[in-house]
Amino acid sequence: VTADEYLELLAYLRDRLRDAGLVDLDDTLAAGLRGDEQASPYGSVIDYLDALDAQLALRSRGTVEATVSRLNEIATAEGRIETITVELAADEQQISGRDELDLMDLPDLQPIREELTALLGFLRDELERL
Amino acid sequence: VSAAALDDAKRRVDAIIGGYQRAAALPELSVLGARTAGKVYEGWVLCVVLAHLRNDEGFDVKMVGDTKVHLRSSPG
Repeated sequence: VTADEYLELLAYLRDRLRDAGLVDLDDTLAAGLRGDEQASPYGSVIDYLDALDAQLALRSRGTVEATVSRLNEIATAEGRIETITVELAADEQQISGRDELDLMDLPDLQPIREELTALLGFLRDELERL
Repeated sequence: VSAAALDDAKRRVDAIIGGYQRAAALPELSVLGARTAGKVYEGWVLCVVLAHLRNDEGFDVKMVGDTKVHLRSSPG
């Protein structure tokens, strides 16, 4: 087991995200690394993956559904609250070609989050096994 | 991690990122990803604040005139 292998895995993760066109996401995740990757390579990989899971949760329809369900528990309404919409700014309207975004249109990322949880478990098991 | 485990981890990473790419295929959602995530977070924080107002401060929380919660992307 070497620190270099964890650093290699972290670099691989970051490269794959950036190659996938998710530079903004990598920037967000990397900002949380505190610059101590060399001192704590294992912890940095785990921190990065935990942060990725949190970001996927915020981009997943499942979180929107949970939020709407919670709103219906809290608020009284003339009918059930169905969704959350976002009125887009002018630049976003140009990019997307729409005035409004329905957050229920977000993809369901739960299966991907489960794969991520499995990867975190795999890495933790590897550390304990050694 | 051993070399084999490292390769396994890389394969898992490929599956996760590839899966996300496919799931988020709508280009506008990819482009707006960070801002969309911020709005989902805002919606959840709204729940926390409203729950506090109802449970701890004794307010009634009513949704008036619509069945959609409207948020704005731009400030204000």
